[in-house]
Amino acid sequence: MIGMLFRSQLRNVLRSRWVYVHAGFFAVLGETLYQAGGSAAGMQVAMMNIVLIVLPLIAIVYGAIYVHGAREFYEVLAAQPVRRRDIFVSSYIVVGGALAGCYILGAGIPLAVHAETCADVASAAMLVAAGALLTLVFTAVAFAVAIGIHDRARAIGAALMLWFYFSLLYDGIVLYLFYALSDYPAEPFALAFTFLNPVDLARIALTMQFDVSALMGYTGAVFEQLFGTGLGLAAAFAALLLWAGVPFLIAQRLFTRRDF
Amino acid sequence: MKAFPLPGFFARWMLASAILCFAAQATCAARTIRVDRGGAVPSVAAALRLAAPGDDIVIAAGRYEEGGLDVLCRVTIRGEGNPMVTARGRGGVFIVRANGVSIRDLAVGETGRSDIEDRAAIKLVGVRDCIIERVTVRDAFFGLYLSKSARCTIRDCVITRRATNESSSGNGIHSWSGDSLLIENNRIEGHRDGIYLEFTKHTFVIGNTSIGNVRYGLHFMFSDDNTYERNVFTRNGSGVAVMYTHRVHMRGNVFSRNWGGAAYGLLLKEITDSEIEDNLFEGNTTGLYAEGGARILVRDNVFRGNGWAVRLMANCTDNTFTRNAFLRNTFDVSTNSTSSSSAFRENHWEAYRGYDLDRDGIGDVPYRPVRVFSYIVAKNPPAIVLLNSFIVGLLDVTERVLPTITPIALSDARPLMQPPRGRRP
Repeated sequence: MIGMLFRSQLRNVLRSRWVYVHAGFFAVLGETLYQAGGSAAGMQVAMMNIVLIVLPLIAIVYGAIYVHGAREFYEVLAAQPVRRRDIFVSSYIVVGGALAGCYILGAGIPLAVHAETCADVASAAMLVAAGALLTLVFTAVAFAVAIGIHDRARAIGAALMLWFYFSLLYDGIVLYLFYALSDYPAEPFALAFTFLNPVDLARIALTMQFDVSALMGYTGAVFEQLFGTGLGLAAAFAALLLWAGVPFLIAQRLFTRRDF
Repeated sequence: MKAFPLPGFFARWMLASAILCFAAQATCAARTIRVDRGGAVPSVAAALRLAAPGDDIVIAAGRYEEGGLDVLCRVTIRGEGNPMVTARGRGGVFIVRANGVSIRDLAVGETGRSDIEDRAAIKLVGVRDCIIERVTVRDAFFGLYLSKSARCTIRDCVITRRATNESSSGNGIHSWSGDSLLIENNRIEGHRDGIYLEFTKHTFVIGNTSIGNVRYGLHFMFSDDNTYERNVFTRNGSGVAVMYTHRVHMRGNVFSRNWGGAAYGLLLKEITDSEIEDNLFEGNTTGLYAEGGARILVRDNVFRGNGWAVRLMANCTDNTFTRNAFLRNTFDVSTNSTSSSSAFRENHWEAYRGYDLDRDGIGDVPYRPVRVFSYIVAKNPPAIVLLNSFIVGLLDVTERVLPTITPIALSDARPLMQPPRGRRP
């Protein structure tokens, strides 16, 4: 049964042009950045900046639109002898998987083609992995929001607000706190705040890959101690997975209890 | 001959050879003394005992295990077939105490380390007009050590060691209280400081390469009126640091790949009335850092791919930056003050987004090189974790359009559209 759910939704998703546009966008972006910058490292840094802003936005908006677009489909299915959890899980995996897969394919090709050294390959792999995880995180957030809010316009508005919060507002608040608490040692606090925002977590884990920790002085050394080790990186990725898992569970709970 | 005579004996033959030198000066013409392990003079020490002023000592190929060799009269010591004179880890090798000595074409080294004395492969003590040329120094605590010496030349020497930390090694070329030295075309690797000058004036440091030293590639203090030209300082633990000095001239040097939390391409502390011209700063955490500098002219340099190209502390006054090129640096200029008494004019900034309507090569809108984020970080270091974030990008854009936080005085009113063609090779 769940297999059939997968197949029909996947066909549905792949029929829409947007996933191909998504893949094409990152492929063209990567190639353009390489042509403009001329080095693999430069391309990766520039790509990181764009990925961190664009990827959450696409995932959250597409996820919210998908859930609301599939509303009648869900209603029909909910009337059938199908477990609601199966409907939810299959539709999350299809949307998150399609977006993440397209990103991996689209960004992966130029990154792989232009990687020159082992360090390039490692940081490219990190960039792809972090991007894919961010996609999963924001798809889950989008599902939670779209299932929780019945009105389509309000749901998309709320999704955009969340994107705005994670990408911009949160860092603004942090910057304010740095000033407000400038008399205290801020590093432990800075470390903690990183883990409370998936975008920041991905950004710092990636930034550390590009050997800029030396630039970051004492704070950089503190971060390097964490993210420079395999264990620290694993912790960062585990935290990202947790960031996908928690909204996923909330969304699932909302979905199974929702009165369609 | 024992390699290391007892102190009493040592003092006696020092006195004897001094007298001999003095006597010989009055009587003989210059001779050549050949040192050969199987010959009549089997050791350098024996040759030095025989030597009179003006003599040549020629050392044949081979390994001579000798140390504590005092050179007490004006001789030329020269190797044939690259002999090695080694102290086998038990102290310094040559100690020159006479004027006009030259040492050429040989290898010296293996002094071992000491925390009590400054062991050096070749030490010049209170002498003038000495020449050290084409000498290879291997694994010496200090390589060439000049103390109160003047008008000496060190040329074409290669000085290497594998120091692991600052206390396990001395400096490659070290001069304390010197005057009018010429340090030219040497290569120094793996020491504590590559070249260290203290109270050393009117000195030319030209064409040297200082790589991979544990602390600084070049380090000087209280060394006025010196010229540094065409040297390469790369991959040193903390780059180059120069302090408390007036009238420094630095031209055509390369400061590159000094990368690390406390590494600087060139760190200036209390430097005044100096010129920094035609240098290349590439791939350093901080290209040029200035603290308490005054009346420094920074001209025709290229800053490329540094974390911070220039960090100018608030206590710097009346410095001028002109015709420099700033390319691909994370931050071009950073300062911790909202006012600035240093002038920037006619530099090329890669990040400049202005236009040039009259096509005279000079941008029509001023450029403010201090990004608001670099200012925030200078004030509040932990904020660096926001590097590469969206909000920082937005802040920079807003600040560029309408500056409110960054020092308005610190701006280049006449930015060059193209990088200036320097006199750099």
